[in-house]
Amino acid sequence: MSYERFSDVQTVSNRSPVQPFNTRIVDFFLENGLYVSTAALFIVFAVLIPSFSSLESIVNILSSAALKGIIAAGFTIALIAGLIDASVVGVAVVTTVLTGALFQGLGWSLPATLAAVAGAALLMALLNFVLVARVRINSFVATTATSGLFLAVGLAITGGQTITITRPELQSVLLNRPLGIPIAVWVLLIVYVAAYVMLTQTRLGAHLYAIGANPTAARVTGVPVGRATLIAFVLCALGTALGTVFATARAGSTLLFGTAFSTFDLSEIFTAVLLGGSSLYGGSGKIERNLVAVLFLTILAFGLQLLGAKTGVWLVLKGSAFVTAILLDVIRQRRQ
Amino acid sequence: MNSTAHDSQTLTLELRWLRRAGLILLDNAILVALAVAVLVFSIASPDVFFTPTNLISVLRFASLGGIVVAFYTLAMIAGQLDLSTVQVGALCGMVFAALYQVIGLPLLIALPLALCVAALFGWFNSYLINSVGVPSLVTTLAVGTLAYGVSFLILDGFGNAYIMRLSRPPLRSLINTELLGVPITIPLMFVVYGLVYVLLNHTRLGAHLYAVGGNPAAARLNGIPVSKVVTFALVAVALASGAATIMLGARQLAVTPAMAVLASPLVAALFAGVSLAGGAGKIERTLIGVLFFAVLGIGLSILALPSWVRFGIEGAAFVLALLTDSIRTHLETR
Repeated sequence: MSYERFSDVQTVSNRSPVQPFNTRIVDFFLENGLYVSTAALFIVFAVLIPSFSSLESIVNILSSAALKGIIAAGFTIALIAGLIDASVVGVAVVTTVLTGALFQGLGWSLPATLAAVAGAALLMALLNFVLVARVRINSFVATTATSGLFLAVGLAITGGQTITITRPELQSVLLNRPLGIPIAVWVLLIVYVAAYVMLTQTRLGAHLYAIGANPTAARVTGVPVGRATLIAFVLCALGTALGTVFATARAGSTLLFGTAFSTFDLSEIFTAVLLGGSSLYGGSGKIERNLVAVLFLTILAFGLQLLGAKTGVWLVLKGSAFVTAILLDVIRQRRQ
Repeated sequence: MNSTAHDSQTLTLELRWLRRAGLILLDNAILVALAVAVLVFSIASPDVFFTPTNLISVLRFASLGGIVVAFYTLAMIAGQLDLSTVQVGALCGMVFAALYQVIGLPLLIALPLALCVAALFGWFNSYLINSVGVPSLVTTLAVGTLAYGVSFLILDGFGNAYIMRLSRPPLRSLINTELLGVPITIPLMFVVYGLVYVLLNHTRLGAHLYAVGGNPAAARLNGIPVSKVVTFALVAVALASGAATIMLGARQLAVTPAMAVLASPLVAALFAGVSLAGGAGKIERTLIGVLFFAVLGIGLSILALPSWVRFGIEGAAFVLALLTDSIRTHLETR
């Protein structure tokens, strides 16, 4: 009885029936700003560049978004569980190098190569898990360290050389277009649907949110914290490996991740995930919004490239987007 | 009954001794590592490594990175991990090259202006941490990305492909001035370490830095101006990084947006035993850590090992440093 009354008082004091107009505007933008600005950005570029809205260009944007999108999905799952996995760059390096070395260099079959890559991702996730959950090092710092280690392993395998993949199976399988849409885009959609179902409909999903929000409380209430942490790291590493295999197939050679010429870096994944509304502090986030955030960044990059903008402009916009994403996260936290 | 009590007492006594021995070993691990590295390289290449010329080049190699790590230690003691030092330092170098080389401002105007840019980014870091309340790791990653972008804007405006020349005359002879027969940056490094030592151990600000890193809430309750201390630490790191990058640029006659005086000051400081959690760390140990990394760097380049070995050793050093830090925390809190 008294509980009910207490919660009534809370509700009344927190949310008066008529909210001030600007509060509603801010709420609307926090909720839908991402969708509005992505659509606006697309329209602006479509007006400026005639070929931008062609089907071919849209398919191109989507398949280029697939790499970051799939990596961002795994990264978000880890972030929801309160883990910042900075080793995505190192995992991507090992994956691209292993794919090149095993498939092209040693002539392994595609399934064997993919299995080896998945195995390597599992091992790397396990190392992250041991350092974070057993040795109890801050996840960001521990995975920054392991990322450097993975980078060295990747360089050691190839001696720093790029491997060009000339055997056709990789590209003929992975760049196939069922129903006119590249397989990478299908995989991207499947990954997001699966992640959405896992996070919202299963016990594991509830556990991930619980350990991200409050690990101590989760442990006390009987959540298997260690197991959920391990699964979060494994999903993050597997997502990174999957995205990287597609990117490698698309490029037709091993990619230079971890260098100045990299096609993605940690800050970009971070920006996408935070713009998508996941919190730095764990315990909250909606994975479907990531997809839109990744599209936003990809459309921005594509449009600027087609307009012939200098590197500096793109990099400054990317940095500003990162800072904005952090500020939005804080604003969102304070309003809740 | 009695005997079990006795047994457990001797056991705890033994454990205490083990713990103390472990702590002593960990405290001096970096010194041991330095000695071992010097010994190994002296044996591996006797006629090259252990010569006065080479030892001076080790110190010269250590000096600029050493200056950055000195201030990095200070920030880590205050509980701040700065991932933007490389990018902010490089940006400062780029701004300096644009003002001094391209526009042709006098040194005494270009230098302070460039350092102001570094300080601004350091302040921006501290603003996001203090007022917005974002953890330093993520804040500085974002600010570093932004600084890297601004560097490229300057490159687009003033430079060519990936590099900005920095060859206007008095600069290189200034940086290569010798004092008592050694390059000036070596005594400069020792002076910096002396000053930071005094700051940390004999001033109120030093005590505040330790207090803020150890327990910010308690520090605030005790009336310590926490946000001012954090701002001081982050601005100091940015300034040191900027100044060191300009000196490196003067030595190499060019700056680039990715130029790093030291690839990861975090690894160096951590390896020297500065705690990740803040509130602990000794600057004299950092100096030994810096010397160790310089010996390792020069030694490995004398042995002409491939680049991935260097990456591997750096990565392994990082993981090892994390493990020792975690073991130390474990031993100290028991």
